[in-house]
Amino acid sequence: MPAAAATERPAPELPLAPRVSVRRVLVVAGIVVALVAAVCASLALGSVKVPLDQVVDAMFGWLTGDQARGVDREIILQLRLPRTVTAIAVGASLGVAGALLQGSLGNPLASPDVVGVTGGAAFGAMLVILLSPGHVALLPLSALVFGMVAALLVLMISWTGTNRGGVGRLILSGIAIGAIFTAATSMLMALHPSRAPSAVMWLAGSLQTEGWPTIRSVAPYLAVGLVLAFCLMRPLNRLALGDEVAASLGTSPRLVRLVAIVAAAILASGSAALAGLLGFLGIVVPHAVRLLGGTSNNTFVVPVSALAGATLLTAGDVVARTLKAPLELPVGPMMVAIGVPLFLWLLRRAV
Amino acid sequence: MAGVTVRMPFVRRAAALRALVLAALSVAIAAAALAAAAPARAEAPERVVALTPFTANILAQLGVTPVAVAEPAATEEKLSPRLRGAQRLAMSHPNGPNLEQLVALRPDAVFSSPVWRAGTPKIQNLGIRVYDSLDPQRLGTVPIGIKKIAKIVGREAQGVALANRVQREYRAASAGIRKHPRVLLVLGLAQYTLAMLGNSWGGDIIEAAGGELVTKNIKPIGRTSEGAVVGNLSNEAVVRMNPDVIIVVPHGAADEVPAIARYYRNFAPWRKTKAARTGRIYVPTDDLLLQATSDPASLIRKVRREYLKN
Amino acid sequence: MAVLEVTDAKVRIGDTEILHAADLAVDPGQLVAVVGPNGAGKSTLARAAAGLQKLAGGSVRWYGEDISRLRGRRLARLRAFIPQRPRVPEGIVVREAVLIGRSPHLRPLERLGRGDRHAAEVAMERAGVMEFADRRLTTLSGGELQRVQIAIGLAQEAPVLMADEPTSALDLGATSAMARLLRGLADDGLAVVLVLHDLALAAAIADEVVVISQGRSVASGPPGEVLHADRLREVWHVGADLEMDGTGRTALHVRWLEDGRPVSDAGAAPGARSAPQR
Repeated sequence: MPAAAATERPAPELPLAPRVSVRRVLVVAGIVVALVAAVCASLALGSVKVPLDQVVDAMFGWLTGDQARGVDREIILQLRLPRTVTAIAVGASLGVAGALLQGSLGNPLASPDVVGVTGGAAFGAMLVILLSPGHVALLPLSALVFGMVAALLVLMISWTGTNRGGVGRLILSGIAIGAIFTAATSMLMALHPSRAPSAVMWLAGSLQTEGWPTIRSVAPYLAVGLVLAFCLMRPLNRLALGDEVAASLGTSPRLVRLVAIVAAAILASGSAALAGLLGFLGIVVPHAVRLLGGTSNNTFVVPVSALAGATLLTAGDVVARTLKAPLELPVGPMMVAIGVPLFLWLLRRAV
Repeated sequence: MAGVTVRMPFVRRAAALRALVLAALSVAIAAAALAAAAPARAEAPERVVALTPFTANILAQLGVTPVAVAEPAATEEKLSPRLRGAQRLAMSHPNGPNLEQLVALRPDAVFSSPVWRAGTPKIQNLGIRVYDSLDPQRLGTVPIGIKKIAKIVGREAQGVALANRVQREYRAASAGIRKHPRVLLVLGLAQYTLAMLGNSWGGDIIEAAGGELVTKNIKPIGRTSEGAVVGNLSNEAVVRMNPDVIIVVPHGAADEVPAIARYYRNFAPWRKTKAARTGRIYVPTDDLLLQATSDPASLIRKVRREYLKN
Repeated sequence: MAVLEVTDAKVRIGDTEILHAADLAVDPGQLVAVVGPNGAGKSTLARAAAGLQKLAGGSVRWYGEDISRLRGRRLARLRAFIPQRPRVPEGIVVREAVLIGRSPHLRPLERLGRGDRHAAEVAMERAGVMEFADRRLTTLSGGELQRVQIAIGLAQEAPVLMADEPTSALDLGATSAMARLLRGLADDGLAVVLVLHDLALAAAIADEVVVISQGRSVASGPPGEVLHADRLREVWHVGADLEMDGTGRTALHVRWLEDGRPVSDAGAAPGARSAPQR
């Protein structure tokens, strides 16, 4: 009789240091190693061959005193480095956005698509590409704004009426708003068929940007989203125990959900602004992290999803740039080609 | 008819007669059908419709007036003054002209193009002949295209003469080239660099104008089908290739040329190229470098004069 | 001063008034059972008392302070509420879940300290879940899960524990274990409020029973005094007697096949309800 025995057993002594799961540590270490390797590959490899010593000189020339040749410096510092940084930022943001949504909506299929953000961002990008291609510099801003607008619409709709803020209502509003924006995008493409090719390219996802100017303009938003996500890890754990237990612990489930969706919307819109639509990351990466680490604890899943997402996207981009150099392939399919076999392998070994 | 012996019993004779009549009828019907289905004898069509500026202008130069021509887009080749009287047809994706309008013209033949190929079967179902593979894709096939068009409309001799003249003219336009700048020809679409590759119309024009196409030796991804002669070129390669001149053709966006020009002149990834530093990034206001024109010579001269400066 | 005092609570959900005049009071070391038929409003009363349900009228006071002034973590350090069918998340082990119960004691970005881990261990011991501390919640039986929920509540180190029907889904053995645990907690000084269906169980473990019927509290007091035959007939429409022998052994003798509605209803049309006699 455990309960009776409990009252008789003496209280346990102060326990040792926190039990650290060896498995989780190994997983994190493995992903970090993979990320470092991907980053090195991303800088050393690309559409043109740059000798390794030139790469090192370009990156650390101020240390060694050697200066890389002008053209190679330009390629490394103004093209590859910002592109690598963009890949890391977008990969991490999308991984975290997926983790936030899956945690707050309690639904393993949740992703930025489901809250309408992806549809809105696509519409914003299409507005620029199809209606005023001369103002292409505004594309990232437009995608960002419309992604947020879509999320706000979803939140407004689902926060009214019966069962306000409930998960079912959120998902349904997200699907509806997403559908509206997707339809509007299709109409735009039908009205401007001659400009459709560039629209298609954007939709397939690509990390080709203008370099530092673009990432600089979007980075603050991503930073805000990541900080919010960091603060949401423990509240999401409480939410996992159920709305009522979370309330008992002093958390407002609706508020946590709201902030989580806003953070995910910022991260997803910013990512779409930089790289187009890369839906795969948001859905699959958090799941893969859960399978690898054997836990759904958000203090593990959220940060590790950031690392894993960054690794996957950086690796995918290296492949996209090198496979058919000097021509570029879209990064979405490359990432899927790397990620899906890994994911299937994980599923089979699921513990 | 083969002989039928009179000695056959009456009933069997009637049956045999019936069978023979049926057989004869079948043969007759088959013969008629075959005759009807036989490829129409090369009878020159009287009423033709030209849906591309190339065929319209070539027809005009051959002395044939189409009953109708497609309204050209703002960025396409301008129609010859000789076609002023021809009816204009509005074109819309993906089928091309309004089919009712087309039928009302009672054309004998329609010259279309791969762009409007979706509409070809629909026009053919109306019993109208369609030729949609005649627009040349390369500079070298312009004379061939001219001759094919001429043959269809029964002006073979004029066709040969015209083809030879056009060829002489564009060869002459390549004379006296002093400089051979390195040129990158790009389809401007958002922030992507869709470069025209070596086996394209634009590439041929640049080479004929004395430019050295930097993408000449790059193989396209996948098979080269009509029009698929562009490649998504990495900006790393652009920096490495360091072209002297960059020409950006804004596909389907003629009204936005000044804004697009500003964008590409300040495009950060290209800023270290010779073209950017010497201010030689050009944005033409028309699509003539994307598809065949009936007057390649003036296009080559324009490219030399305005872009390559040679 | 009573730890928890609910006076004249009114709760409206949508257009329906679920509670119109409900009272509840708990002292430390006391185990109060809230009983009543389905739909009477006992869960609503418990949730309103816990601050999870807004009041349309009346007052709820914790240590004399009105609940509207107690927010979030402050309230969480005063009471732990265990809902009837809590969500069972995937991929979380018992120890992690219990540690989540420490959050009212942690500032927003503060890390878990040794004190927190110790409190969690104590809570797990007390609730008797140490032996499966490293197992996933999804692998536990109903009884084990319920004890884990109690452990999470205990990790909050709040003086009041409130549970909504903690035994309704449990088998006999698990119910008995839960009964011992809850009674033991009250004996150790916790104030315990339970919403219960099982009247015999309530009689066995509760110091005080509050009967809710049609949205109002109609009686409160020691189980033997409150749960007499007339009351059982009035409120539950059942002919029954509660037998208590004072040693924790109770039995509810029910004349199952008897129409137990109050005498005045016997001749009335079925389903009609009239004011109970006496």
